[in-house]
Amino acid sequence: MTEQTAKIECRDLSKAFHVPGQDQRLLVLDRVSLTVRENEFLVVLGPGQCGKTVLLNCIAGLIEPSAGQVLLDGTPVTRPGPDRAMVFQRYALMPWKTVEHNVAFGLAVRGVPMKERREIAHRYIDLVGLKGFEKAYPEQLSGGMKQRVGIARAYANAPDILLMDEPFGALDAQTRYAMEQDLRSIWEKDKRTVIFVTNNIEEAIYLGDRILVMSVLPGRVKAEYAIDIPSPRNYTDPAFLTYRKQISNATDLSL
Amino acid sequence: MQTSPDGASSPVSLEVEKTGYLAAAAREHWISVVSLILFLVIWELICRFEIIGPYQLVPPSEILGVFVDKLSEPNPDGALLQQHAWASLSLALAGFGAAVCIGVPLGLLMGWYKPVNLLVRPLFDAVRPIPPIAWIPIAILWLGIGMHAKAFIIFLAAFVPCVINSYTGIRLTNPVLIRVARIYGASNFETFRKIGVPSAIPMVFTGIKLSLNAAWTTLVAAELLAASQGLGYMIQLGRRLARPDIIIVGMLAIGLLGALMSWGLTRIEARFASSRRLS
Amino acid sequence: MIGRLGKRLMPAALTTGSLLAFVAFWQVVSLYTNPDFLPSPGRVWDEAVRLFHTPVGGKDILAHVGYSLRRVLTAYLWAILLGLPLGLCMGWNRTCEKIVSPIFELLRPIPPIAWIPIAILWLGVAEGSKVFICFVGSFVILVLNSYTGMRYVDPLLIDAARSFGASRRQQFFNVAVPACLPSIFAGLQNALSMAWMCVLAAELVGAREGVGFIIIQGMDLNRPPMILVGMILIGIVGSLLAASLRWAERALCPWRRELV
Repeated sequence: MTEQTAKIECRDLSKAFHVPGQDQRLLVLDRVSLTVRENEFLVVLGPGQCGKTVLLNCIAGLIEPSAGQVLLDGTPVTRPGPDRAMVFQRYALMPWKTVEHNVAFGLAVRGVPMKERREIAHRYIDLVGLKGFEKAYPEQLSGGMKQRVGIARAYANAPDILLMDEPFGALDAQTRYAMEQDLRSIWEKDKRTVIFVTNNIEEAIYLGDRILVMSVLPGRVKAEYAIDIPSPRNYTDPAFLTYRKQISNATDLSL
Repeated sequence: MQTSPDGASSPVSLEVEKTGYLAAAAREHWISVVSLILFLVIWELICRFEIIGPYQLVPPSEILGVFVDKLSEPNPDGALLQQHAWASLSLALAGFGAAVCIGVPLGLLMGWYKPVNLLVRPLFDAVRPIPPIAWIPIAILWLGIGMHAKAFIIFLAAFVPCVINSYTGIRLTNPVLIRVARIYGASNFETFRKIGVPSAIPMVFTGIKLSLNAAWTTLVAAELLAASQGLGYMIQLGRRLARPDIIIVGMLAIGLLGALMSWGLTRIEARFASSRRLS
Repeated sequence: MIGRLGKRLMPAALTTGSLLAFVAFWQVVSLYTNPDFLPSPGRVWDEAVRLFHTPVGGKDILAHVGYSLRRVLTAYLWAILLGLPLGLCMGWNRTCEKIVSPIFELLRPIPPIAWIPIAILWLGVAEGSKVFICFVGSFVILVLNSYTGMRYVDPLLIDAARSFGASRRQQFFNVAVPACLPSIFAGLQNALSMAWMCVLAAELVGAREGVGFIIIQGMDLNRPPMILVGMILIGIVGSLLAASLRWAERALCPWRRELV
């Protein structure tokens, strides 16, 4: 990988937070450096509380790093932009908007005309397999369906980069497998640069081209693995299990 | 950014941001102080330049003097400030206390035992939409102008939130906890006492706070209409005598006492909650 | 279909049944008490019929209700116009909160009814003071509810909007305000019943028309049935006001229909 093809680059990213009632500030990210290629599926793997979400928020431009910088195609990130879209663990859907309007949210923010908005929204609702639920409210959907809306919302905004913050963390195992499969196939149909954060090794190996393993607080990049298994991947594939063993031995994630 | 050679954590220059945070907090505090002072100054100026005449508003600088005077000067309303305050307080607390003592158990029982609910519900539902203040005229006809009528109305006002919140609180008891108690062989009454009541406590306290508020408001209304003492009477007389200073001192006393009682209740609740957590 | 219909009719049936039970209870009690003290439901009914045909204090009984409603609604609209934006701004903007909250906290513990004497001193016994009292009562509630609603908006929703590049303005109008609609509606509900109570108090203290005047007149004429008719009327109008707001909430917040 050469400098020229780096889509995202984080240089010595650090973030410390002020904790109420404490003198010392809590260091959450400690000089994290990473690069992501165009259209690469990068998984950041780490236990709870390792600053994965903070890392993602820095890249999204939602929070400002205490030190270091995030470069996007070589230009520093200062604020959120339509070139990046985020998928949240707790869905973050607007309860007062129908599925259709939730998916079209990013387009509405950018002032895309109503008719076009509708067309794009319907296309992505189709893509995530929610046809027929356009007029439903989020409260009427199951967790998996809500996250499908979240993914469609991110995709509909036509971002270069998808930032996914443990998107399947709140789902039950069955739904989770199905969502992983679907996400991978959506991505293969419509490739974007993805940073996917998770605490689940299997999910990481199933989805990622490359895995970064992070340590517990303060978060640092501990190890890096390139996953070289052709799609469609299978959880019981010997190659898959080899990776699984390798990563879980190297990390003390007893998953 | 300075990086320590051994690579230990804390390389980020934290100090600058920390002072920045404190400075921001201090600045925000100042805004409040300035805003409050500005409010008083404008009030003072409005009175000094007689934009609003002395028979309608008095400046804040005089209020304090009147407040102190009223502690030792019964005129023009016939009693000292603390006598009025005591008259109001004792009445409000009596009505409120009775309402809590009857309303909370009643609400809890209604929420737990169906027959009690069926028996009391109609009475309660029919009376609830009528604001307690609307009872003042009939209460005066029934009980005369005096202590009893006012106590009755305050009781009514404080009673409703006590019942509603206790009822709702106990109805929201986690059914799993009830089943656990049953599985371990607790009787219905024991389950009520050991599971239902404790889990309703937070809601009950909210109800008690609401009912204190209602009692205090209703007391003022009752005293405006029919009283010879009390803070409500004091401000009503202040109006007849066109003495805005007396009215404002009375209003401030009402506000202050109300706030003090709410604060006291919050303290009791906090203590209650912490002692529960310990046991 | 029948099941769903039954479910919808069930609360109505319960309320009706409960009201009937109450009237029966009242009838029984009145048999054993002095009729001058507690008139029977029948006598109150007769009084109601009489009042609907003969004017009280020179005005029709429904005109009295109209007077009270006009005061309440005028004050209520002003409170919405001023209180909602103020509360929302306080919840959204820290500077605004720091400026307003000390003054607000100073005045908030004073019950709206305690404003009656000074309001009369300022605005006279006529309409002005009554509208003012209702305004104070509903204003405080609306500010508090919209303020707390705004403070409790899930920050995640704001983050989601920000991640799509929403401007500060868009975050406020497209995310924060709709997100606190439920608590705004709770505030609207409480504020309206508070205004209804305040108008009553103001009318009791001094008025020549309005529902409060009816019951005060009943007291002055020593006619318990008339007072009771007035009280029932007050209860009915209050319930209707509340019901119309619930209806408005269902119409304006369709996503909450399934929840309530």
